[in-house]
Parts: sequence; C-alpha cells; structure tokens
Amino acid sequence: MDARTIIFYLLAATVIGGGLMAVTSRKIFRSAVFLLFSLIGIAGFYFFLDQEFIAAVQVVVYVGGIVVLILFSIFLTHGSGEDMKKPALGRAVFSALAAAIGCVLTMYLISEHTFQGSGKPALEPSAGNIGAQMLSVTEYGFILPFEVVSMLLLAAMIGCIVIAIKVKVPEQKVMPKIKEETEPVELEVVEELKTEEV
Amino acid sequence: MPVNSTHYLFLSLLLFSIGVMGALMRRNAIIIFMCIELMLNAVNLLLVAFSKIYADANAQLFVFFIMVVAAAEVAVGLAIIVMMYRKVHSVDINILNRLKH
Amino acid sequence: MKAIIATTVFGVIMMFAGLWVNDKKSIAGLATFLFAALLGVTIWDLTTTSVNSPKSLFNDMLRSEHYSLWFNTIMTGCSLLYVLLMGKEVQKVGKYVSEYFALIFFILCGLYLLSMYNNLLMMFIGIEILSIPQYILAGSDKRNLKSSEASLKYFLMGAFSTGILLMGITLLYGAARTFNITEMVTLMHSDALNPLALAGILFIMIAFSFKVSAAPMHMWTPDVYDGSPTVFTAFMATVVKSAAFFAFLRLFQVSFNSLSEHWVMVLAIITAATLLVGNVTAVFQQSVKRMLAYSSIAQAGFMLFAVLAVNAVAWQGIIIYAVAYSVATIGIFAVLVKLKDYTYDGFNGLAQREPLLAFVTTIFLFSLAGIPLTGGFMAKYYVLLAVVQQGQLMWLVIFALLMAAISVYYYFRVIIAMYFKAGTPEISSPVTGGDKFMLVVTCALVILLGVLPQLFLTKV
Repeated sequence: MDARTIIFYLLAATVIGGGLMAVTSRKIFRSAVFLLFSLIGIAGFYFFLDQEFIAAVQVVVYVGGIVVLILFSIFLTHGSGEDMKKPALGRAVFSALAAAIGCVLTMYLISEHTFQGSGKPALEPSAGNIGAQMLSVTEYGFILPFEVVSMLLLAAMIGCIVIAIKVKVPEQKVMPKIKEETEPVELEVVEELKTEEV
Repeated sequence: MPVNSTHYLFLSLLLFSIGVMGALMRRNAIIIFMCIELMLNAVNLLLVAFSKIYADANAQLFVFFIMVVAAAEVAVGLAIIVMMYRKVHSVDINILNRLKH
Repeated sequence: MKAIIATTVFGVIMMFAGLWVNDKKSIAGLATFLFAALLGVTIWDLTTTSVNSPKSLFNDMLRSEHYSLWFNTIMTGCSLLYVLLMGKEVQKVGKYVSEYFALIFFILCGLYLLSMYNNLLMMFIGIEILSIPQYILAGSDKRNLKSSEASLKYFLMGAFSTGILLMGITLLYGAARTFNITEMVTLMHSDALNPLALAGILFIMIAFSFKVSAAPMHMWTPDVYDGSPTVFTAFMATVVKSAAFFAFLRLFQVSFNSLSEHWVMVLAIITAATLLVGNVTAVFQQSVKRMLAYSSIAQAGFMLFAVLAVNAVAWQGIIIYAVAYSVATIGIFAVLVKLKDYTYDGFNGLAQREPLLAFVTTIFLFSLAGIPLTGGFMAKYYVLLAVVQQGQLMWLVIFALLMAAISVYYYFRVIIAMYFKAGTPEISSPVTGGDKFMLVVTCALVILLGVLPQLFLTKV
C-alpha cells in the first residue's frame, strides 16, 4: 500500500461515513454537520485528483453556500433540537433494500467495463481552459449554456420571491395597528429635534 | 491494490445509493433535500474523475453547470420548505399526508 | 433560436410590466399579445429553416431540425390557446399575475431547448428551466394548503429525478466520452455494447419516467395535479408534459436507436404498467380533477408508444398526440375552472344550465377517449401505427386497445352526469361570450385534428 492508496481510502471513508451518518442521524443539526464533512471529503478528492480550481469552487459553493443555506432553514424550521421520529421499520428496510439492489446491480453491470486511455484529442482540464471555454464560441465553447443558465437563475430568483413573500392579512385590519405604533414614535422624534434646536 | 478509475466509479455509486436510500427512507423534507445534495455530489465526483481519466475539460464544465443548477434548486426548495413550515409548523411529509384525509 | 431569445425577452418584459401596470386585466392582455407575437416568431423560425438541412447552433449545442421547429410552433400555439381560454382565471390565483406569466414564458424557453438540444448539457438545463418555474406555479395559491403541499412534493420528486438523470448522463459520458448525442452514437458502438452505456440508459429512462409520470414513478402526479391551482394544472399536464416526452423521444431516437433491443423490453413493461395503473385507478376517482390527473398518466402510457417505436412515424405520432391531447385537456380544464364543485356531482345538470359548455366538454372527452372523428382517435392511431410498423410488441398494442376501452367508462361518467342527471351546477365565474367563442374554436380544432390530421403534419 502506497501513500496514495491510503489517502484514497481515508477520503473515501470520510465521504461515505459522513454521508451515511447524515442520512441516518436523528438530530437534524447533526445531519447537516455530517453532510458538511462528506462535502469537504469530496473537495479533498478534487485536490487529490489535482483539480484545485474545482476543489475551491466545491468548498465555496457547497460548504460555504448550500450547507449554510440548509443550516439557516433548519434554524428557521426547527426551533428546538429535539430528536426526529425513527423511520418506520418497513420503510427503512424497503428503501435500504431498493438502494442496495440498485447499487449492486449497477456495479455488477459495470464491473466488466475496462477503461482505456483517451482516443480522440480532448481539451486539457486546467482552470484556464475551463474559464476560456465557458465564454468561448469556438470549438468546445459553452457560451450558450452559460447564457441560458443565467435565465434559469432569473427564473429561480423570481420564483423564490413569489413563493417566500408573505401573504398580507386584509389591509383594513393591519393599518390602524401600524398607525398606533408609529405615530407616538414620530412625535417623540419631533420633540427631541425641537429641544435640540432650542 | 492501486487506485484506478473503477474505484472512483464504485465510490461514487455507493455515495449515490446512500443518497437514494436516504431520500426514500426519511420523511423530513430538509433531510430528503440533503440526500439529494449527496446524490448530486456523487455525480460531480464521478464526472471529475472521468475528466481526469480522459483528460477532457468538458466533464468539468458540466460539473460547474450542475453546481449552478443545484444552487438555484436549493434556493427555490428552501423557500418552498419555509413557506410550508409557516402553514403547518412542520416539515414532515407524513403530516402532509395525514392532513389530506 | 429566435424563439429562445424572444421568449426570454418577453419573460423579462412581463416582469417589468408588473412594476408599472397595476391593472391585472391589462397584464393578461399584454401576455396574450406577447404569446401571439411568440407564435409569430416560431413561425418565422420555421419558415427560414430549410426542411432537409438541420442547422447546428453554437458548436452543436442545439440543432434546429424541422420537426423540432414544427413542434415548437404547435406547442406555442397551444400556449396561446391556453392563455386565451384561461387568462382570466390566472388573474384570480394570486397577486403576482405578471410573474406567473413571466414564469410561463420561461417554461416555454425550456420547451424550445428540449425540442432542439443536441447535447446532454442542454437537455439537463432545459429540463431544469422547465421544472423550476413549475414548482413555483404549483405553490402559487398561498391561501390553500394543498397547493403548498403540491409544490413541496413536486419539488422533492423533481430534484430526486434530476439526480438520477445526472447519474445516467455521467455513466453515458463514461461510455461515450462526449455529451453530444449525435456523436455518441458512433462512439458507443465501436464494439460490443458498453456496460456503462447500458446502465446510463436505464438511469435516464427511470428519470424520464419520473418526469412524464410513467408507472411506477407516477405517485406524485395525482397529488401535484390535484393540489395545484387548476389553471396551472392545465398547463403542466399538457404543454409541459408534451415537452418532456419530446425530449425523451429525441434522446432515444437519435442516440439509442440502434441499441433498441437492449432497452425496448424494459420500456414496454413500463408502458404496460402505466396504462394499467392510470386507467384502472382513474375509474375509482370521485373528483373530476383527480380523474383527469390519472387520465393524464393513462395518456402518458400511449405517448410512450412513440418512444417505443424507433422509426420515423414516431415523430409524427408524438406531435399529433401532443397537440390532440393538449388541446382537448386545456379545453376540459377551461370548463372545469368555471365550476365550483370538482366532483362528478358538480357536473350534474350542466346540459340544462349551459348547453354549450356541456356540448364542448363532450367533444373534448370524446377526443381523450379516442372516439373516431376527433383528434384523440387520430393521435392514438398514429402512435400505435408506429409500433405496429416495427412489427414487434403486438401484445402491447392489443393491451393498449383494451385499456382505451376502459377509459371510455370514466370519461363517459362525466357526460352522463351532465346530460342525464338532474341538478344545478354552481358556476364560479360567469361564462362570457368570449369564453364561449374560444371554447367553440378549441372544439373545432379537436374535430379538425380528427378529420384532417395531415394539416398538422405537413412539415414533419
């Protein structure tokens, strides 16, 4: 066993162990933290494969963005950190079996596959190449998906606003309340100003 | 045993299966959501490994698009989950099924 | 390509319209105008592309083949019909009318990408653009808990199936080393079938089964279609579903055509299960809206025939089926939104109160059941013909005919309620002359499809 193999198995243990714990933990906050470990493990794999750029992006987007968002929503929706209910045994067995059978079948299918070195000339995966291709219109250029994905983000943004905005209670009921709260405050401010002027 | 591409394939499939298992097993919307993130990460890992084996940048470009779309999905999904929470004060899917009857 | 740009711009215009125009009616009017303009743009696209030489766009990311452009035009036409019939109802869903229309424009952009994609990346992005606005539209009725529930369910199912789809794409890439679906063909067959490719095809098939609500991945459909605001269900069940089918067909026709012996049996079983589940469960429903949700699963079973048949007739089949099914279903939903009670009893005595409404509903239901002289009959004829020409899977064709016979039962229950049962149906919004005119036009379209289907296939 050389060092590379050991590192591979260590990283694999982090990723798989973190994933398993995230899926089975009964405290939702712990689940999120284990997910974090798993995602960092994957970033470690990207470093291991000499893809530093994508590793950095993985850390920024997943660890820094998505997990934080998930944590926010956990805080918003789970006030207390009580345990979640255990999943029903039948469901747990069924889903574990389904996943295991799917996994084993696929692995069996592809275990016969042998990889050969690359045949046709391809684009070297360096950060510079990736950046250039993202905006290029020449061969291998990804300008169209790049533009289209911006529309996806626009749609998602509008969607979030439409979904998340609170529906107002009928206006007549709210208006007087606000007035009662705000008017005295304004008066105080005005009085303070007056005294300062004097 | 030296590490080769088949190892990455198996690792990523294993992670993917864990995600699938969780999504089928758990009833908490946020946890299901985290399981889906695991599935997407398994895919990303495999794509990057392929990109390294074939020395092809296309696969890595695909990974970036998956990340962008995943981020958009997270935003929409969490907005939906929070909206749901405001109404029933729970993110448990079973409660939803019970409410219907 | 012009259509993609146009629909994006129109979507943005709709968003800004929401800022400056407060009157819901004029927003709906503007949307109708923009949909008509969009139809014009798609026709422009169609006429400027020659029939025999597909244009490759942006390094083969998209390929504007003639049948794709024709599909775009027809589906934009269906969307225009949808807005004309239901524009008024969209205003009632909630406050953000202009945003709803903007999201519908974005969905159409996803549809155009899905009909023209030539790269799996574009397919993935197309499916996402198609789906994300739908999650929002499903949850747009915020006073209703069922709507939020539909949104959450749809979202979780959609995201889950996206994960499976991506795994399939990745395995395919591992086999073929390209995301380009036409290049993929040659690379996958250099020798014996690559096991990675086979696994990838299976994953993608499962993911698409989720998207088009084929059994056994259909569980989300009834809840989502039932819970969403009826106006948006009408759009999701028709135009969006057709787009997902077209993408399904495109991938399997272009890339996996010659591998068909490996996957055709799996898909045949999925088709049989879909037909069985959809039709049999629809029989037991008490609500017409829920029945239509199950009926949409059953219709998906028929559309799967087009994917099963790997020949040229399949393109004609999917296009004619998409338009016949969409027009008839949009029509029925347009009638349904006018009623207060969505159960079968809510239809009791509709023939006395609104004879015209009852009549057009009857024609739409005839079409969905596949009675001759309506669009639905020709549609079923074309998709089944495609499989028959292939010369195999005859058992499935016979099974489908049997299931079509069952479907007559639950469609006719509505007709019986309207004509032979006494009652006073409650109408939630008045049926104006304009509504009646549009319904008659839709009805005429259904019959035209049944009598002269060639009119809708001239360009294929």
